[in-house]
Amino acid sequence: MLGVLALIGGGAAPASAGTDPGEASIGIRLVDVPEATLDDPRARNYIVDNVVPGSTIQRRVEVSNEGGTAQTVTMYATSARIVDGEFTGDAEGSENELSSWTALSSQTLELEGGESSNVTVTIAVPADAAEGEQYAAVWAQVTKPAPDGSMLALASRAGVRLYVSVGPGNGPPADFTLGTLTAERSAEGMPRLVAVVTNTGGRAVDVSGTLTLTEGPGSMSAGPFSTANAVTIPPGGTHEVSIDLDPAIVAGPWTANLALTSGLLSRTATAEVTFPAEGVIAVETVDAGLPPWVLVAGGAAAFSVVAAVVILLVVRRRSRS
Amino acid sequence: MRTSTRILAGIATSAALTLVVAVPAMAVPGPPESTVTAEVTGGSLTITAPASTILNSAAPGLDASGSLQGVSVTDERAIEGTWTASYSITDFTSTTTDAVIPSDAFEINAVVPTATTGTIDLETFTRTGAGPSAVASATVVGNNSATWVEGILVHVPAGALAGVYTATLTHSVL
Repeated sequence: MLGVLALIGGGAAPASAGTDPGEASIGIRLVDVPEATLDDPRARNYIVDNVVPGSTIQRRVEVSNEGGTAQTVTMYATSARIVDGEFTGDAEGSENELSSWTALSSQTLELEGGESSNVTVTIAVPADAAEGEQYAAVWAQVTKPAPDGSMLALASRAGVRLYVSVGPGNGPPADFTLGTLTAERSAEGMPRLVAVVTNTGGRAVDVSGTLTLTEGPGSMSAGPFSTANAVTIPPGGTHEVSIDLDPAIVAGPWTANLALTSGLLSRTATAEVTFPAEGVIAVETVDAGLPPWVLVAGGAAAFSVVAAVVILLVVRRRSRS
Repeated sequence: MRTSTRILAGIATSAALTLVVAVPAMAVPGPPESTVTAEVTGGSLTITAPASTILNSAAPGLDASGSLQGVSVTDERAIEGTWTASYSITDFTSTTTDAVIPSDAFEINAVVPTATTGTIDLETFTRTGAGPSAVASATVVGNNSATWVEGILVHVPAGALAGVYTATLTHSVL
């Protein structure tokens, strides 16, 4: 048995996880929303605001112990990032400017099972803060110590996202554009439409939406199909948004009507697409928003300009010689 | 001449009065709390993880493995939107010596949900390292919930010292 490492003692009562009454369970929700953004689904769930340097905003969050036993809840703010289309909150102790401007009215809560409590989030933006959007998260966490014989202590935390833009007035507007649409077929034979989305505004966007196929063979229509994931894109960023379709969908040609939204923003694109045969990927690419006749007319116009220049040059040369 | 001046003065006065009256009705700009807020009714976004899990023992160079049965997210916000569940893990530290197994040795594999309710499109992932990284990501309409199982592995380095090591595994939902 030389060199054998017992990482854990073993032999401890293996608690059957999942049915344990001492589960780490914690919930959070945003209580206050600015009246001006009450209609915006993003602002109802996340702290989305533009703050003038030197001013302060306050919002309340409600923390609830959804478990059956009393729990100690720790409250803190951390930095957050947008990585590969996902809004990701960093580990406890990770700071950025926004999280350091964020103060919570309680650091610890003692909550009985089923009890909830409000915590005030105060974001004080210093007068010398640089303009731009920053991301953070406010967390409510419960931690269970590692029981005897276990390598892992388990913690759970639920958070509220912060998208805070610093600048005068209402801040830079959010905007995004839809680029190329691509019809693909996955290795599993699943038809899929991929749109390239670019954030052209000054705020992060959470893009999701639906695709409807119309004017298919035999006047068929299909859909709406939903995006698999909302993709979060920072200002200036570009990311693909894909929609998986039913394998029974015929190849086409179809008119693809894509509608993507982020909060109250909505953008649409229409393109003629044909899904490639199985195993083949990305055969048809059509620019969004431009009907095919524009492309044809544009191409014809460009061709006639080139032809005219060539003819002119030839004529001038001949007249010189 | 005089009459017209008076009329002008009268207009100016009433305009000034109107302005004075209007000011208190307008939101006062500047710091702090100039924003009018409304209370939103709706439920919470909740995450639940088991109280504990057991990893089996492993020799240096081999894998310690275990599983988390029933990590779940309950979303009662009643919105059309998304949530992302992610994990992060600290280094494994020895309870008796200074030895450390870095979090690079950690691997987590969230498998197909065992239960879902509501309108939900869920994707699960296999990840390695300290994180934070998404283990499950959902697009949802209305109230929903999802429960899944996670397989976890610790690739114990060949040069690791014998002992009992502990780390904290945190599950987050945003």
